[in-house]
Amino acid sequence: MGTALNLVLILLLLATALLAVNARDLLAAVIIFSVYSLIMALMWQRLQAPDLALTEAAVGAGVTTVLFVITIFKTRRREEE
Amino acid sequence: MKKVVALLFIVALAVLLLYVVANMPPMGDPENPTATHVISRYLERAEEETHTENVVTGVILNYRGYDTMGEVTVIFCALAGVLAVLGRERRGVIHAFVDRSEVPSSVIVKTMVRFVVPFIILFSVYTILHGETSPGGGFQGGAIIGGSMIIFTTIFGLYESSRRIPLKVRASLEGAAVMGFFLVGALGLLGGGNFLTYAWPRVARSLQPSLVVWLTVLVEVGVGLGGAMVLISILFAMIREEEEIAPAP
Amino acid sequence: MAARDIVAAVFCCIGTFFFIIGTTGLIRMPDLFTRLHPSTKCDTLGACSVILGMAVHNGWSWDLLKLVFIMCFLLLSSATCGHAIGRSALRRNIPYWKKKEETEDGHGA
Repeated sequence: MGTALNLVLILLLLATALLAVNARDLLAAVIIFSVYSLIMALMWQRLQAPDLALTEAAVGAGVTTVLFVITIFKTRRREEE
Repeated sequence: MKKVVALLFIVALAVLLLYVVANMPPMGDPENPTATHVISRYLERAEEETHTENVVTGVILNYRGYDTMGEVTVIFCALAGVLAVLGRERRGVIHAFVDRSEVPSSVIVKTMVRFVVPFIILFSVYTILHGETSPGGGFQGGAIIGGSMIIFTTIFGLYESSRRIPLKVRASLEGAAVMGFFLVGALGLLGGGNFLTYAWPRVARSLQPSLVVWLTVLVEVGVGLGGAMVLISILFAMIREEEEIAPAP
Repeated sequence: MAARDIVAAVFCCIGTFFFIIGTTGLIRMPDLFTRLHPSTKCDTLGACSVILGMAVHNGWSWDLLKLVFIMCFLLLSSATCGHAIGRSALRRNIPYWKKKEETEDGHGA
Protein backbone atom coordinates (compact mmCIF):
# COMPACT_ATOMS: atom_id res chain seq x y z
CA MET A 1 0.00 0.00 0.00
CA GLY A 2 2.67 2.47 1.06
CA THR A 3 4.95 1.43 -1.78
CA ALA A 4 2.17 1.92 -4.33
CA LEU A 5 1.48 5.41 -3.01
CA ASN A 6 5.19 6.26 -3.13
CA LEU A 7 5.37 5.00 -6.71
CA VAL A 8 2.36 7.10 -7.76
CA LEU A 9 3.85 10.18 -6.08
CA ILE A 10 7.24 9.69 -7.77
CA LEU A 11 5.58 9.22 -11.18
CA LEU A 12 3.50 12.37 -10.64
CA LEU A 13 6.66 14.22 -9.57
CA LEU A 14 8.45 13.17 -12.76
CA ALA A 15 5.44 14.04 -14.92
CA THR A 16 5.01 17.51 -13.41
CA ALA A 17 8.75 18.21 -13.64
CA LEU A 18 8.83 17.29 -17.34
CA LEU A 19 5.63 19.24 -18.07
CA ALA A 20 6.92 22.33 -16.27
CA VAL A 21 10.12 22.27 -18.30
CA ASN A 22 8.36 21.65 -21.61
CA ALA A 23 5.48 24.11 -21.26
CA ARG A 24 5.66 26.97 -23.81
CA ASP A 25 3.21 29.06 -21.82
CA LEU A 26 5.22 30.32 -18.86
CA LEU A 27 2.14 30.86 -16.68
CA ALA A 28 1.17 27.23 -17.20
CA ALA A 29 4.73 26.23 -16.35
CA VAL A 30 4.55 28.16 -13.08
CA ILE A 31 1.22 26.57 -12.11
CA ILE A 32 2.59 23.10 -12.90
CA PHE A 33 5.66 23.94 -10.85
CA SER A 34 3.48 24.78 -7.86
CA VAL A 35 1.79 21.38 -8.26
CA TYR A 36 5.29 19.89 -8.26
CA SER A 37 6.00 21.66 -4.98
CA LEU A 38 2.79 20.35 -3.44
CA ILE A 39 3.64 16.76 -4.44
CA MET A 40 7.13 17.33 -3.08
CA ALA A 41 5.57 18.43 0.23
CA LEU A 42 3.56 15.21 0.29
CA MET A 43 6.77 13.28 -0.36
CA TRP A 44 8.52 14.99 2.57
CA GLN A 45 5.58 14.07 4.77
CA ARG A 46 5.81 10.46 3.58
CA LEU A 47 9.54 10.48 4.39
CA GLN A 48 8.62 11.61 7.94
CA ALA A 49 10.01 15.13 7.61
CA PRO A 50 6.99 17.29 8.55
CA ASP A 51 9.16 20.39 9.14
CA LEU A 52 10.36 20.28 5.56
CA ALA A 53 6.85 19.53 4.30
CA LEU A 54 5.56 22.71 5.96
CA THR A 55 8.37 24.75 4.45
CA GLU A 56 7.89 23.28 1.00
CA ALA A 57 4.13 23.87 1.06
CA ALA A 58 4.44 27.46 2.30
CA VAL A 59 7.45 28.60 0.29
CA GLY A 60 7.40 26.37 -2.79
CA ALA A 61 3.69 26.25 -3.49
CA GLY A 62 2.72 29.60 -2.00
CA VAL A 63 5.30 32.35 -2.06
CA THR A 64 7.48 31.46 -5.05
CA THR A 65 4.44 30.84 -7.25
CA VAL A 66 3.13 34.34 -6.58
CA LEU A 67 6.57 35.89 -7.15
CA PHE A 68 6.90 34.01 -10.46
CA VAL A 69 3.42 35.13 -11.55
CA ILE A 70 4.26 38.76 -10.73
CA THR A 71 7.47 38.44 -12.76
CA ILE A 72 5.57 36.99 -15.72
CA PHE A 73 3.04 39.82 -15.72
CA LYS A 74 5.88 42.34 -15.58
CA THR A 75 7.70 40.76 -18.53
CA ARG A 76 6.11 38.55 -21.14
CA ARG A 77 4.10 35.41 -20.93
CA ARG A 78 5.22 33.34 -23.89
CA GLU A 79 8.57 31.73 -24.36
CA GLU A 80 10.29 33.05 -27.48
CA GLU A 81 10.48 30.64 -30.37
CA MET B 1 25.94 18.87 -32.58
CA LYS B 2 24.64 20.70 -29.52
CA LYS B 3 21.90 18.13 -29.08
CA VAL B 4 24.32 15.22 -29.35
CA VAL B 5 26.55 16.73 -26.68
CA ALA B 6 23.54 17.34 -24.43
CA LEU B 7 22.30 13.80 -24.94
CA LEU B 8 25.73 12.32 -24.20
CA PHE B 9 25.99 14.46 -21.07
CA ILE B 10 22.54 13.37 -19.88
CA VAL B 11 23.28 9.68 -20.52
CA ALA B 12 26.59 9.94 -18.67
CA LEU B 13 24.88 11.70 -15.76
CA ALA B 14 22.08 9.12 -15.67
CA VAL B 15 24.56 6.23 -15.64
CA LEU B 16 26.52 7.87 -12.85
CA LEU B 17 23.42 8.59 -10.76
CA LEU B 18 21.97 5.10 -11.29
CA TYR B 19 25.32 3.59 -10.29
CA VAL B 20 25.33 5.66 -7.10
CA VAL B 21 21.71 4.81 -6.31
CA ALA B 22 22.41 1.11 -6.82
CA ASN B 23 25.27 1.32 -4.32
CA MET B 24 23.37 3.29 -1.70
CA PRO B 25 22.85 1.64 1.67
CA PRO B 26 19.28 0.43 2.19
CA MET B 27 16.91 2.98 3.69
CA GLY B 28 16.33 2.63 7.42
CA ASP B 29 19.26 0.25 7.93
CA PRO B 30 20.84 0.80 11.37
CA GLU B 31 24.26 0.09 9.85
CA ASN B 32 24.02 3.15 7.56
CA PRO B 33 26.91 5.63 7.74
CA THR B 34 24.36 8.33 8.53
CA ALA B 35 22.99 6.38 11.46
CA THR B 36 26.23 5.35 13.12
CA HIS B 37 27.96 8.61 14.01
CA VAL B 38 25.97 11.43 15.61
CA ILE B 39 22.34 10.40 15.14
CA SER B 40 22.26 8.25 18.25
CA ARG B 41 23.52 11.13 20.37
CA TYR B 42 20.91 13.47 18.85
CA LEU B 43 18.08 11.04 19.46
CA GLU B 44 19.14 9.98 22.95
CA ARG B 45 20.31 13.20 24.51
CA ALA B 46 18.68 16.02 22.53
CA GLU B 47 15.92 16.53 25.04
CA GLU B 48 18.16 16.89 28.09
CA GLU B 49 20.81 18.89 26.24
CA THR B 50 18.66 21.31 24.27
CA HIS B 51 15.33 21.07 26.15
CA THR B 52 13.37 20.82 22.91
CA GLU B 53 10.92 17.99 22.42
CA ASN B 54 11.17 18.29 18.66
CA VAL B 55 14.59 16.84 17.91
CA VAL B 56 14.66 18.55 14.50
CA THR B 57 14.46 21.96 16.16
CA GLY B 58 17.14 20.91 18.61
CA VAL B 59 19.47 19.90 15.78
CA ILE B 60 18.75 23.02 13.71
CA LEU B 61 19.01 25.57 16.48
CA ASN B 62 21.57 23.94 18.71
CA TYR B 63 23.85 21.25 17.35
CA ARG B 64 24.00 22.80 13.89
CA GLY B 65 23.66 26.41 14.98
CA TYR B 66 26.38 27.73 12.69
CA ASP B 67 24.72 26.13 9.64
CA THR B 68 21.37 27.69 10.46
CA MET B 69 22.97 31.07 10.96
CA GLY B 70 24.45 30.71 7.50
CA GLU B 71 20.99 29.94 6.10
CA VAL B 72 19.51 32.99 7.80
CA THR B 73 22.30 35.08 6.32
CA VAL B 74 21.52 33.64 2.89
CA ILE B 75 17.89 34.82 3.22
CA PHE B 76 19.12 38.28 4.19
CA CYS B 77 21.51 38.30 1.22
CA ALA B 78 18.61 37.35 -1.09
CA LEU B 79 16.74 40.44 0.05
CA ALA B 80 19.87 42.55 -0.41
CA GLY B 81 20.23 41.22 -3.96
CA VAL B 82 16.59 41.90 -4.87
CA LEU B 83 16.79 45.42 -3.44
CA ALA B 84 20.08 46.06 -5.23
CA VAL B 85 18.36 45.30 -8.55
CA LEU B 86 14.88 46.72 -7.99
CA GLY B 87 15.54 49.41 -5.41
CA ARG B 88 13.74 50.18 -2.20
CA GLU B 89 10.89 52.66 -2.00
CA ARG B 90 11.97 55.99 -0.59
CA ARG B 91 11.41 56.81 3.04
CA GLY B 92 8.25 58.74 3.86
CA VAL B 93 6.73 58.17 0.43
CA ILE B 94 3.19 56.81 0.32
CA HIS B 95 2.08 54.77 -2.64
CA ALA B 96 -1.09 56.01 -4.26
CA PHE B 97 -3.85 53.51 -4.74
CA VAL B 98 -3.71 52.40 -8.35
CA ASP B 99 -5.81 49.41 -9.36
CA ARG B 100 -4.38 48.25 -12.65
CA SER B 101 -6.51 45.13 -12.99
CA GLU B 102 -9.41 45.17 -15.39
CA VAL B 103 -11.70 43.64 -12.78
CA PRO B 104 -11.59 45.20 -9.31
CA SER B 105 -11.90 42.77 -6.43
CA SER B 106 -15.46 42.15 -5.37
CA VAL B 107 -16.91 42.69 -1.91
CA ILE B 108 -17.12 38.95 -1.31
CA VAL B 109 -13.41 38.41 -1.93
CA LYS B 110 -12.41 41.42 0.17
CA THR B 111 -14.59 40.33 3.07
CA MET B 112 -13.28 36.78 2.92
CA VAL B 113 -9.64 37.91 2.83
CA ARG B 114 -10.26 40.24 5.75
CA PHE B 115 -11.80 37.31 7.62
CA VAL B 116 -9.20 34.66 6.77
CA VAL B 117 -5.89 36.57 7.00
CA PRO B 118 -6.02 36.95 10.83
CA PHE B 119 -6.49 33.20 11.13
CA ILE B 120 -3.50 32.57 8.87
CA ILE B 121 -1.38 34.90 10.98
CA LEU B 122 -2.64 33.18 14.13
CA PHE B 123 -1.61 29.82 12.67
CA SER B 124 1.82 31.17 11.80
CA VAL B 125 2.27 32.49 15.35
CA TYR B 126 1.38 29.02 16.61
CA THR B 127 3.88 27.50 14.18
CA ILE B 128 6.64 29.83 15.40
CA LEU B 129 6.00 29.59 19.13
CA HIS B 130 5.26 25.88 19.15
CA GLY B 131 8.30 25.07 17.04
CA GLU B 132 10.25 23.39 19.80
CA THR B 133 7.56 20.83 20.57
CA SER B 134 5.87 20.21 17.22
CA PRO B 135 6.84 20.39 13.55
CA GLY B 136 7.40 23.94 12.46
CA GLY B 137 9.53 26.84 13.58
CA GLY B 138 10.78 30.21 12.57
CA PHE B 139 11.30 29.59 8.85
CA GLN B 140 7.90 27.95 8.34
CA GLY B 141 5.98 30.50 10.37
CA GLY B 142 7.74 33.38 8.63
CA ALA B 143 6.86 31.93 5.25
CA ILE B 144 3.21 31.60 6.32
CA ILE B 145 3.11 35.25 7.47
CA GLY B 146 4.65 36.23 4.12
CA GLY B 147 2.01 34.19 2.30
CA SER B 148 -0.81 35.85 4.21
CA MET B 149 0.54 39.30 3.36
CA ILE B 150 0.85 38.24 -0.28
CA ILE B 151 -2.86 37.35 -0.28
CA PHE B 152 -3.68 40.68 1.36
CA THR B 153 -1.55 42.67 -1.10
CA THR B 154 -2.96 40.99 -4.19
CA ILE B 155 -6.50 41.83 -3.11
CA PHE B 156 -6.15 45.23 -1.42
CA GLY B 157 -3.18 46.64 -3.31
CA LEU B 158 0.19 48.01 -2.30
CA TYR B 159 -1.27 51.16 -0.77
CA GLU B 160 -3.23 49.39 1.95
CA SER B 161 -0.61 46.81 2.81
CA SER B 162 2.36 49.18 2.86
CA ARG B 163 0.35 51.38 5.20
CA ARG B 164 -0.10 48.43 7.56
CA ILE B 165 3.55 47.35 7.42
CA PRO B 166 5.47 50.57 6.77
CA LEU B 167 9.06 50.71 5.62
CA LYS B 168 10.26 51.70 9.08
CA VAL B 169 8.97 48.45 10.62
CA ARG B 170 10.29 46.29 7.82
CA ALA B 171 13.70 47.91 7.72
CA SER B 172 14.18 47.48 11.45
CA LEU B 173 12.93 43.89 11.57
CA GLU B 174 14.67 42.48 8.48
CA GLY B 175 17.95 42.18 10.31
CA ALA B 176 16.19 40.68 13.33
CA ALA B 177 16.78 37.12 12.17
CA VAL B 178 20.52 37.45 11.71
CA MET B 179 21.08 39.76 14.66
CA GLY B 180 18.90 37.79 17.07
CA PHE B 181 20.52 34.55 16.08
CA PHE B 182 23.99 35.96 16.45
CA LEU B 183 23.31 37.66 19.79
CA VAL B 184 21.68 34.62 21.38
CA GLY B 185 24.45 32.42 20.03
CA ALA B 186 27.10 34.76 21.38
CA LEU B 187 25.36 34.57 24.76
CA GLY B 188 26.36 30.91 24.85
CA LEU B 189 29.95 31.83 23.99
CA LEU B 190 30.01 34.47 26.72
CA GLY B 191 28.74 31.96 29.23
CA GLY B 192 31.72 29.74 28.56
CA GLY B 193 29.97 27.16 26.41
CA ASN B 194 29.76 26.61 22.66
CA PHE B 195 27.91 28.83 20.18
CA LEU B 196 24.16 28.50 20.82
CA THR B 197 24.50 25.92 23.57
CA TYR B 198 23.08 28.39 26.10
CA ALA B 199 25.41 27.02 28.74
CA TRP B 200 25.28 29.64 31.44
CA PRO B 201 27.23 28.37 34.42
CA ARG B 202 26.72 31.47 36.52
CA VAL B 203 22.93 31.24 36.36
CA ALA B 204 21.44 28.94 38.91
CA ARG B 205 21.12 25.38 37.70
CA SER B 206 17.42 25.25 38.45
CA LEU B 207 16.75 28.28 36.29
CA GLN B 208 18.48 26.89 33.24
CA PRO B 209 15.86 24.70 31.53
CA SER B 210 13.28 27.45 31.36
CA LEU B 211 15.96 29.95 30.30
CA VAL B 212 17.07 27.66 27.48
CA VAL B 213 13.49 27.21 26.29
CA TRP B 214 12.95 30.96 26.31
CA LEU B 215 16.14 31.61 24.36
CA THR B 216 15.11 29.01 21.79
CA VAL B 217 11.72 30.69 21.46
CA LEU B 218 13.49 34.05 21.10
CA VAL B 219 15.59 32.74 18.22
CA GLU B 220 12.49 31.26 16.60
CA VAL B 221 10.57 34.54 16.88
CA GLY B 222 13.54 36.48 15.47
CA VAL B 223 13.92 34.12 12.53
CA GLY B 224 10.17 34.11 11.90
CA LEU B 225 9.70 37.88 11.96
CA GLY B 226 12.87 38.51 9.98
CA GLY B 227 11.97 35.93 7.32
CA ALA B 228 8.43 37.29 7.03
CA MET B 229 9.64 40.87 6.62
CA VAL B 230 12.21 39.77 4.02
CA LEU B 231 9.49 38.03 1.99
CA ILE B 232 7.14 41.02 2.26
CA SER B 233 9.89 43.44 1.22
CA ILE B 234 10.76 41.30 -1.81
CA LEU B 235 7.07 41.24 -2.77
CA PHE B 236 6.70 45.01 -2.38
CA ALA B 237 9.85 45.66 -4.39
CA MET B 238 8.54 43.44 -7.18
CA ILE B 239 5.00 44.79 -7.50
CA ARG B 240 5.98 48.43 -7.04
CA GLU B 241 5.59 50.78 -9.99
CA GLU B 242 7.28 54.18 -10.09
CA GLU B 243 4.18 56.08 -11.23
CA GLU B 244 2.31 54.89 -8.18
CA ILE B 245 4.15 57.24 -5.86
CA ALA B 246 1.84 59.84 -4.43
CA PRO B 247 3.03 63.32 -3.49
CA ALA B 248 3.90 63.59 0.17
CA PRO B 249 0.95 64.87 2.21
CA MET C 1 -14.99 -4.47 11.28
CA ALA C 2 -16.93 -2.02 13.34
CA ALA C 3 -19.92 -0.11 12.03
CA ARG C 4 -17.90 3.09 12.40
CA ASP C 5 -15.30 1.86 9.90
CA ILE C 6 -18.00 1.02 7.36
CA VAL C 7 -19.56 4.48 7.67
CA ALA C 8 -16.13 6.10 7.33
CA ALA C 9 -15.35 4.01 4.25
CA VAL C 10 -18.68 4.95 2.68
CA PHE C 11 -17.99 8.66 3.23
CA CYS C 12 -14.46 8.34 1.82
CA CYS C 13 -15.79 6.47 -1.22
CA ILE C 14 -18.37 9.23 -1.83
CA GLY C 15 -15.59 11.81 -1.62
CA THR C 16 -13.34 9.92 -4.02
CA PHE C 17 -16.26 9.47 -6.41
CA PHE C 18 -16.86 13.22 -6.51
CA PHE C 19 -13.15 13.85 -6.99
CA ILE C 20 -13.10 11.53 -10.01
CA ILE C 21 -16.27 13.12 -11.41
CA GLY C 22 -14.88 16.62 -10.87
CA THR C 23 -11.55 15.84 -12.50
CA THR C 24 -13.24 14.18 -15.45
CA GLY C 25 -15.45 17.22 -15.86
CA LEU C 26 -12.47 19.54 -15.65
CA ILE C 27 -10.84 17.70 -18.55
CA ARG C 28 -13.94 17.08 -20.67
CA MET C 29 -15.87 20.34 -20.34
CA PRO C 30 -15.51 22.80 -23.23
CA ASP C 31 -15.09 26.26 -21.70
CA LEU C 32 -14.13 28.04 -18.48
CA PHE C 33 -17.60 28.45 -17.01
CA THR C 34 -18.62 24.83 -17.47
CA ARG C 35 -15.23 23.72 -16.14
CA LEU C 36 -15.71 25.84 -13.04
CA HIS C 37 -18.85 23.90 -12.19
CA PRO C 38 -17.28 20.41 -11.76
CA SER C 39 -14.00 21.68 -10.32
CA THR C 40 -15.72 23.44 -7.43
CA LYS C 41 -17.58 20.24 -6.65
CA CYS C 42 -14.20 18.62 -5.93
CA ASP C 43 -13.56 20.93 -3.00
CA THR C 44 -17.00 21.13 -1.49
CA LEU C 45 -18.50 17.67 -1.89
CA GLY C 46 -15.35 15.61 -2.48
CA ALA C 47 -12.95 16.94 0.11
CA CYS C 48 -15.66 17.51 2.70
CA SER C 49 -16.92 13.94 2.35
CA VAL C 50 -13.38 12.62 2.81
CA ILE C 51 -12.94 14.83 5.89
CA LEU C 52 -16.28 13.62 7.26
CA GLY C 53 -15.12 10.05 6.71
CA MET C 54 -11.90 10.75 8.58
CA ALA C 55 -13.84 12.42 11.40
CA VAL C 56 -16.10 9.38 11.78
CA HIS C 57 -13.11 7.06 11.68
CA ASN C 58 -11.24 9.12 14.29
CA GLY C 59 -14.07 9.45 16.81
CA TRP C 60 -14.25 12.03 19.55
CA SER C 61 -10.87 13.70 20.07
CA TRP C 62 -9.09 16.99 19.58
CA ASP C 63 -8.30 15.98 16.02
CA LEU C 64 -12.04 16.23 15.32
CA LEU C 65 -11.90 19.95 16.06
CA LYS C 66 -8.98 20.38 13.65
CA LEU C 67 -10.88 18.49 10.95
CA VAL C 68 -13.94 20.70 11.46
CA PHE C 69 -11.75 23.81 11.15
CA ILE C 70 -10.11 22.46 7.99
CA MET C 71 -13.56 21.80 6.54
CA CYS C 72 -14.79 25.31 7.39
CA PHE C 73 -11.80 27.02 5.80
CA LEU C 74 -11.96 24.72 2.78
CA LEU C 75 -15.63 25.61 2.21
CA LEU C 76 -14.97 29.34 2.64
CA SER C 77 -11.88 29.51 0.45
CA SER C 78 -13.14 27.27 -2.36
CA ALA C 79 -16.43 29.14 -2.62
CA THR C 80 -14.57 32.46 -2.72
CA CYS C 81 -12.14 31.16 -5.35
CA GLY C 82 -14.97 29.94 -7.55
CA HIS C 83 -16.71 33.30 -7.23
CA ALA C 84 -13.54 35.26 -8.02
CA ILE C 85 -12.65 33.15 -11.07
CA GLY C 86 -16.19 33.23 -12.46
CA ARG C 87 -16.66 36.95 -11.91
CA SER C 88 -13.28 37.82 -13.38
CA ALA C 89 -13.97 35.69 -16.46
CA LEU C 90 -17.42 37.23 -16.89
CA ARG C 91 -16.10 40.81 -16.68
CA ARG C 92 -13.28 40.06 -19.09
CA ASN C 93 -15.79 38.82 -21.69
CA ILE C 94 -14.33 35.37 -22.01
CA PRO C 95 -16.47 33.75 -24.72
CA TYR C 96 -19.11 31.18 -23.83
CA TRP C 97 -19.19 27.79 -25.39
CA LYS C 98 -21.95 27.21 -27.92
CA LYS C 99 -23.05 24.15 -29.79
CA LYS C 100 -21.26 23.73 -33.07
CA GLU C 101 -24.15 24.60 -35.39
CA GLU C 102 -24.79 27.81 -33.46
CA THR C 103 -21.27 29.26 -33.74
CA GLU C 104 -20.58 31.59 -36.62
CA ASP C 105 -16.79 31.55 -36.41
CA GLY C 106 -16.50 27.81 -35.97
CA HIS C 107 -14.77 27.95 -32.61
CA GLY C 108 -17.15 25.58 -30.86
CA ALA C 109 -15.65 22.54 -29.23
